Amino acid sequence: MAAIDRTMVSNILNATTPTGTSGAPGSFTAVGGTAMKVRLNSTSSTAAAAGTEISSGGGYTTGGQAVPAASSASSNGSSVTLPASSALSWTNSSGSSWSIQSMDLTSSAGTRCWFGDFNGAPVSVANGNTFQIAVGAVTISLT
Amino acid sequence: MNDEQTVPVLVGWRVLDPDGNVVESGPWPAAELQAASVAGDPPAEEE
Repeated sequence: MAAIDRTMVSNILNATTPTGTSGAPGSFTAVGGTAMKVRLNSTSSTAAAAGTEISSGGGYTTGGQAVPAASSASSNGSSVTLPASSALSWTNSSGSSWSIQSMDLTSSAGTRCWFGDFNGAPVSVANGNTFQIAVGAVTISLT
Repeated sequence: MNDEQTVPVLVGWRVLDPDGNVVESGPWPAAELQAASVAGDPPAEEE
């Protein structure tokens, strides 16, 4: 399960309510056309802002890691899960431990959509160790 | 209504050491654990 970014809340609301010209639905601002990314943070994200991202280099690239494949689309209000097909994996070679608290699902350009804390966070990942997110571990729903 | 949200908690993570051993997990999905268990079980004896 993941929570939703505040800007994305407005994006969805405006596109599905009469906020457009003469009461038409407003516009939905697309969040990009290439693979979405999972970003890791050392602090909690909130609806207003992402947490502090893990430092770039040593096994982590700023912006996070692209999902490996398309998730199954929602149907009849069902949730969407990710990552599809293979786990996401980061091996820490930074020379010091990572402290991972939360994640954000963003567009490829970094537009935030969803976020959540990891169970038991912060998760300590020693240098040389690998942090993985299982296939289907992140569930996203609106109901 | 308001925009207060309960920050969700994500399971399905794990930390592996360089040899691939699980150091910690959040937990890893049950299906994977079951698969590992099956793989490690001795074959059942036939009667």
